Amino acid sequence: MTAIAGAFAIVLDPATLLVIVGASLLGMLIGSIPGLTAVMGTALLVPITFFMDPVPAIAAMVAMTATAIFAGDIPGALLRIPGTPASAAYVDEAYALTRRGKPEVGLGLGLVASTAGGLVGSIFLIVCAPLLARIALGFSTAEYFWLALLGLSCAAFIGTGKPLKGLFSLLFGLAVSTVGLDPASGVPRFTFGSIDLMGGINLIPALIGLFAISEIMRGALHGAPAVREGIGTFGRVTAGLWQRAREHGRNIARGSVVGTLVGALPGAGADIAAWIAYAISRRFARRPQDFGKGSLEGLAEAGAANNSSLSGAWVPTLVFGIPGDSITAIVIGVLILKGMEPGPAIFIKQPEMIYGVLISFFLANLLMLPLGLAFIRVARHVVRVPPTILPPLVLMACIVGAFSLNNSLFDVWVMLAFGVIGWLMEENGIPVAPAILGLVLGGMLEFNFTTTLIKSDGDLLAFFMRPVAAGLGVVTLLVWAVTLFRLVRPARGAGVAAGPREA
Amino acid sequence: MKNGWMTSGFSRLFAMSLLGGGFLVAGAAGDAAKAEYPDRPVTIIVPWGAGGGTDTIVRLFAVGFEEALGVPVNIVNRTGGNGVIGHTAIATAAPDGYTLGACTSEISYFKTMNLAPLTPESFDLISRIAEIPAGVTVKTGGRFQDLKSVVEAMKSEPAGTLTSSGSGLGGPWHLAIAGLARMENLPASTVKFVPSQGGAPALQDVMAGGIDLFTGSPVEAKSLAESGEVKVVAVMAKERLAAFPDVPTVKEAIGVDWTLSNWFSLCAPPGLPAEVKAKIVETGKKGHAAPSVQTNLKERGITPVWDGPEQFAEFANAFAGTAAILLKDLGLAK
Repeated sequence: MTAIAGAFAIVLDPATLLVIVGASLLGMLIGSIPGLTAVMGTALLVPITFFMDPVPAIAAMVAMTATAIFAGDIPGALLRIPGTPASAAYVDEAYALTRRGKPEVGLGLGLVASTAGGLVGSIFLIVCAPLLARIALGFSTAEYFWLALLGLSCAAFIGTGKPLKGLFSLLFGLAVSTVGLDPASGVPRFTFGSIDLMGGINLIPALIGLFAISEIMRGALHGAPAVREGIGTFGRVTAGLWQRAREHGRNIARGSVVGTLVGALPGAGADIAAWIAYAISRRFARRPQDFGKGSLEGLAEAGAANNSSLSGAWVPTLVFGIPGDSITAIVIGVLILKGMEPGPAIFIKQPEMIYGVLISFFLANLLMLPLGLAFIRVARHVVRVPPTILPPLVLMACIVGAFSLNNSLFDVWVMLAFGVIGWLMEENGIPVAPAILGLVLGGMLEFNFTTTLIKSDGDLLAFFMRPVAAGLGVVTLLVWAVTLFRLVRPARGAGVAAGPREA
Repeated sequence: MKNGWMTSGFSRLFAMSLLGGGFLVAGAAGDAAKAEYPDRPVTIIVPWGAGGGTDTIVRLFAVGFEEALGVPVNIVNRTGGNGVIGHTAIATAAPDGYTLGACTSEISYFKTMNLAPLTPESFDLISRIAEIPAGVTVKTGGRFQDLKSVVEAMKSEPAGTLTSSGSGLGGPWHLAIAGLARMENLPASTVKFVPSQGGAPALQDVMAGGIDLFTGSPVEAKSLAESGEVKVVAVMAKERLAAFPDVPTVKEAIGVDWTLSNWFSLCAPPGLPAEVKAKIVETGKKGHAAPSVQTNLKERGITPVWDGPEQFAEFANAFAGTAAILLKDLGLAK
């Protein structure tokens, strides 16, 4: 109980609250400007968090991503350009409402759905994470090996909908993660005599490169999408809003649950959650004829799902150190920097920190409602920021961020190189998310494999000797078998994942 | 990579955001250092991550050091490569007193383990700042209740049956259990050492029953011991720790005189000008003695130490000798 009181003291500190409000506003801007994504915003926040205490630092990321995912709806509704890929699934519905002269209807319902989804996801996180941590305290290296492998398999096979390209991306990430000193024996690998490479490829510069630099390159080469037409007038956002929200309560609830679960699945983030929830809402729609013409059902369900998936993704992140999506992959790096090594023991060792983070989820999502209502009014000006202003600023922020991490120019080169790699991958339809998971989890996978074998004197059966390990092993092997089976057989239904990019 | 203006430009940007420009001169001043030392901020390179043990100790010390020195002291973490990267950065920095480092016990065996051509002679050793003794920690309610039962199992069971963890192979916590085995006239490798990336995952594996012993610092196990998940059965120190008044020393528990501490120091690139070194030694000692530094360290279960350049060099070489013997026995010396 004292831990929870301590957590409230940390979160309710005026400085922390100010950070949450500031980050929420930043998220509104990032989300509503097409081309700036929530993941990119998280990467850009990293260097700023160096100068913050742990809880405000993490709270800033929570608040920024939550509002950015909502604000992604705004240019989607007004310009038919999703502000972040997470809004892509239902952009046609929101835009159809704008065409009918009612942009406030779509945006208002999207905001309520986002807030509700975020709160449901937060409750799930607050309830499940400590319980799961209690169970995970009994996990040894064999269990962690399987968890990491299961997470990677999901990311490559299920998360992307393109198993072969996903696998390629994953193997690339794993290969990069082997650079540096072998974590178990200390033998240098792929270092070419360079002291810098002995430390391995630093995760955060690589992630900043993969997300931000590649996005800048894409923008520079393809040009930003042109703004098509003028934006009509706005009615009062709150008019009839609560009535509509109540009518679509079932959609919001179902979308929240689906989003939370998809988020908790490693490698699948807000964008995939929105696509899946949208597909489900269409399947069970009361008014299927509305789809494509401004369906509020699809909008509410998918709008709730992308926000709830953000919170869901934190469950495996905090409990196992396995990121649930691309945003939490970056967060893990920050948690370690802040001395909050993810894992079940953190719930015992630093409970006030963890509960502080969990409370900030709640606050950030509650705050989103009034902020969002206010922001929708000014949004039409923000979505029209000239696309030539931002990329240079973002590039500069990336370089400063990568350098300041370790005061090393080497990291800047790593970031730039990974920017080019990320751009090449996306131009060729290779999903980036599995590579990131590989990069984040490669060390964990290998280290737990090696140490399990050290304990058992090389006996591979050790991976099945403990009951939980055996169970996880069987599940992992099943995922592989099913994927193989589907690859061999000609695919009949292509599934829901339409190959979206990161959130 | 050697692009001078870029480096100073970036450090300037970084510094401005950090200190509102206070550290701006650090990259650029160069020969302006002829004035009396120190006339600009001093940087301490920490070869380990922010928030870790070394980082915490150095930051606590830096508060007093900064006051005694009269200029700002900045901590920079250069992590990776089992400490090789940060230590190399310290050893190759300009020996002008404006870049110092936090050398850790790894400098005693980088060379023995063929990780890097670094030895205690690669640095100007100023003084140790603190030490943290090793200990033996077991799972609560497991097969061991005290150190005696652990040692009995070490003697009666085939070598390699018991496992311990807490650091990388050859790290201080590996030497801790290897040395204890040798004191009992057993082979140094009697307890199989499973490498881990720091204390937290090792303790997690002790709780999960994956390994038998955690031979790292009891300080790392403190919160888990307080919540009853694990039990510290002995500390490898001469006296009991203030933070663990009920935990016996190894000597009290089994009558064997074995101690091992991991240590943390202030060091510098080799070849400091004599008057600069004298000033650092003097102000460092003064800053270290500040009551706030002493209480802050002790509160965390860390033993403050200030032994000065000569004694520290002697100690470091002796430690390197012990480490070399143990690492050879363990088959890790290359």
